[in-house]
Amino acid sequence: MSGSGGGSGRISIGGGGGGGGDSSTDCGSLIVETTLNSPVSAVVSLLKKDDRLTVEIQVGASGINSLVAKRGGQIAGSLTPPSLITILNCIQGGFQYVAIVLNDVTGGVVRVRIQAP
Amino acid sequence: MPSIKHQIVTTWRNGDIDQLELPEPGVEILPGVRWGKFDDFFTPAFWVSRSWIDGDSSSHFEYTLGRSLREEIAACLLGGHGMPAEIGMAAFHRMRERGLLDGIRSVIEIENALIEPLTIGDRQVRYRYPHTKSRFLAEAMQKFNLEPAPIHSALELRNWLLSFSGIGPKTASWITRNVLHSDEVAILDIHIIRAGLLMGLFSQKHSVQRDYFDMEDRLVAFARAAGVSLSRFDSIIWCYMRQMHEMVMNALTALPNSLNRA
Repeated sequence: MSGSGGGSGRISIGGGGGGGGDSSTDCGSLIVETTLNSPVSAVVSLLKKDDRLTVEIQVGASGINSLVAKRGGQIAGSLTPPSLITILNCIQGGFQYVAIVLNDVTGGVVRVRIQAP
Repeated sequence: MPSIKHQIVTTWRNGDIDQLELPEPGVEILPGVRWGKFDDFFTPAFWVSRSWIDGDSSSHFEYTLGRSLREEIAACLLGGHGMPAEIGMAAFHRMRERGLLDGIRSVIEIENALIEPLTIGDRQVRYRYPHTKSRFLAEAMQKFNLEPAPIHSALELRNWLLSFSGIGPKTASWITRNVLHSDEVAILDIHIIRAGLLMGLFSQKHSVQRDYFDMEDRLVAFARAAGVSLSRFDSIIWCYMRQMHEMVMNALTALPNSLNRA
């Protein structure tokens, strides 16, 4: 790829928005309710209300990442919250999060609350 | 009739579960471009799902800088080119406050105002390229006074802006998108180009100087195929790509033939 130029070509106004985040975000007080996406049935079937899953950035073989929730080191599903960038930036800045299961899992959608441990 | 499989995105919105169905990852959204998994960053499905998850309330979509086409031209002309956004905007606000955007003021008057240090927070900073930009700005404001702007058509407006000194396809598209909220033009800056590369929409052989309008056609087609307005896509992609810089660079490094990447 050549000739892509230097600057962004535009000006950011209005902050990070729904998906965004900025340097002023308080990573420690962040609380987000979301759902578990792409659930791994073998892992999800073991989940119970109030279980605490670890939240991690998963690096794929092709260099592509995703944000996942794990139970005992196994992926339970992916996380795609509205504040994705904020969470990613906070994790990369050294913060840790857990995803607490909010509902009884009986084959339906798993709701979780992402927050500091 | 074969069953159509989907990948399902769920989100928690307004106290309820909301779902979006997208084609399976292996399905092509455009020839040679697959949807990919929505939870894998930077795939076409990822961008469509982000657009849906972030919703209309997102401030990604607040992008207009000025209060009129004249002001938008001035703001965009004074920004870009790797200049920190706040410096470009500070220069624009000074021009506006001092009434230097009327198309009557001389190049020297504008240049003198650009040479004076700008106040950004508690810092005094100098505007880059005051000589060149003052000439471009003075000429643009004069031309704006003399010629009617074809605001009835995004493509005609962009073509008209391309006749201004100092305005290339990217800046012309930027102004057009900001003023007309058009989905017919693309602002191919570094972030959008990188996103296009990661989606497989652009190839390493594309050059934005040589292929701007071909690349734009591909992006327009992509947005149409995804059923999302290009201006909305553009704002979301730009915002995410800018803030996910480290992951973007890692993903670009992993691309095949990435030696000469964006």
